[in-house]
Amino acid sequence: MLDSSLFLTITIFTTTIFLIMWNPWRLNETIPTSIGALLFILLGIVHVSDLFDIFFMVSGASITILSTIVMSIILESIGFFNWVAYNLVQRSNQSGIKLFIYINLLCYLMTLFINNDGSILITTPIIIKTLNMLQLKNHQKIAFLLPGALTATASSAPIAISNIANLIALKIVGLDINSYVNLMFVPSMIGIISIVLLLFLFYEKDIPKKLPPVYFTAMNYNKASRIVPHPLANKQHLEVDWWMFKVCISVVIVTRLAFFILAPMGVPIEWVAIAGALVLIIIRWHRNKTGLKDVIAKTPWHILLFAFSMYILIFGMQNIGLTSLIVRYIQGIIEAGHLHSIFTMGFLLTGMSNIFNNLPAIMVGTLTLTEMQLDQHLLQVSYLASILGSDIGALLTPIGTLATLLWMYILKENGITISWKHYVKATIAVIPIGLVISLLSLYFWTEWIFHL
Amino acid sequence: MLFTLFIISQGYLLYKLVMPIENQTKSRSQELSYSSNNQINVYMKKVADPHA
Repeated sequence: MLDSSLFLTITIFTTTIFLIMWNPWRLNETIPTSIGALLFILLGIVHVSDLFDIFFMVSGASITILSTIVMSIILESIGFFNWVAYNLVQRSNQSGIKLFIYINLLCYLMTLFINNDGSILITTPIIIKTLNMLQLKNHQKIAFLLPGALTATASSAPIAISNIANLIALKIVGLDINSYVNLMFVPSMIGIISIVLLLFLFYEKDIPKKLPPVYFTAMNYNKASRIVPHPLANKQHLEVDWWMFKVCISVVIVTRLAFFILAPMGVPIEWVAIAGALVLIIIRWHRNKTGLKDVIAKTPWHILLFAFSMYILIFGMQNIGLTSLIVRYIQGIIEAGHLHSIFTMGFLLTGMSNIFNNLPAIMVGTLTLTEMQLDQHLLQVSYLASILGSDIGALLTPIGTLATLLWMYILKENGITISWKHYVKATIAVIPIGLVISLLSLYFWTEWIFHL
Repeated sequence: MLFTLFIISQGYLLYKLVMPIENQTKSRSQELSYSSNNQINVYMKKVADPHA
């Protein structure tokens, strides 16, 4: 390839990534990605004949994620999340430590049953509402908000369907959602628990030991502090249909189970996801006669185009030799054994994610691994280590994941300030240790599983 | 099988976390008359608008 063409490709790619991460004109991230992808096609960096393959690769994962987002929109519309802030305060029984545990538990569960970006979008406003009710100071709020965000994002590692990047790459390395869970669930859960414990130790001095009583805090939840409108102030949402509440949460759980039960029978996961979303839509229509208007308006349909365009960009970078360059440097280390490959891929993906975000990073990492012609076990453990790097290691800086960028934006919108310095000060104390524990756990766990 | 049980237990945990404590102890007949005579709703209306 000519040098000018190489220069052009790298310029388009870096400009696109810059626009996604820094977003100077508050653009939807799909706009720069689509423009970049279109330029790659027009310049012949990616051939039109490759587009069908790319679309096939990303469509299933995107539809699955979109369907889970539709489910969360339905849950939100029936008032599912409105009570959570109040419940968290009430359940913590005036204990700051209990509140810390419940907030992290909520973030983990929301990622487990929805996905990482959805979890951040849903739980961050709930946590802010909770902390505003308690009228905590800024540094005390951060002690709950940052661990919640890190837990929500890291919790996308245990099961593949919680993160679009994991899901896209899964197919390429010959894993399915059940084999992924067998190999990844235990190591990533050990990593997440370690991170939560380390975050607790880091923020222990900022977490109030005793919180004000719930009735007092609710009464004092004055208008001035309602930067995010309190759900209880909205009379329309005061009356919640508890029957719907129970039925809908059951549908969400059954859909999650169906992914794992039906996948071995050859049922594509996107069909299960669509079915789950349709069941919720039908139940809501039957009960409330609510149509599809809000679902159509609120669903981020652009995710499909975003994932498609992002993959075109990565394909382009592969075509100019980026992945071959990485292969040249790391193949020897990867082939030295499972422990070497796990740590190399974990740290490589951590680095790449914190430079140009984890979605393109995991795509580059996966394509790099497939170029090495590794044996199946080595390919799979290296891929799983990449996931730990891109889901946990990526949390070192806010630009590592779209979820943390989104989180920073929500905080800013709600008048809560956290500097990059503070963010990195906390993550540098927690994430590297959490990542090493996760990678070591992956090594010992997979060695044990493979030798069974 | 083990993972299926795990997902069910996590679902139950989510249910316990998001469902108001008061409502978890209500009988089914009370739940069906969810709106006007719901104690929590009445209580929370007072909280939201103490002068009402």
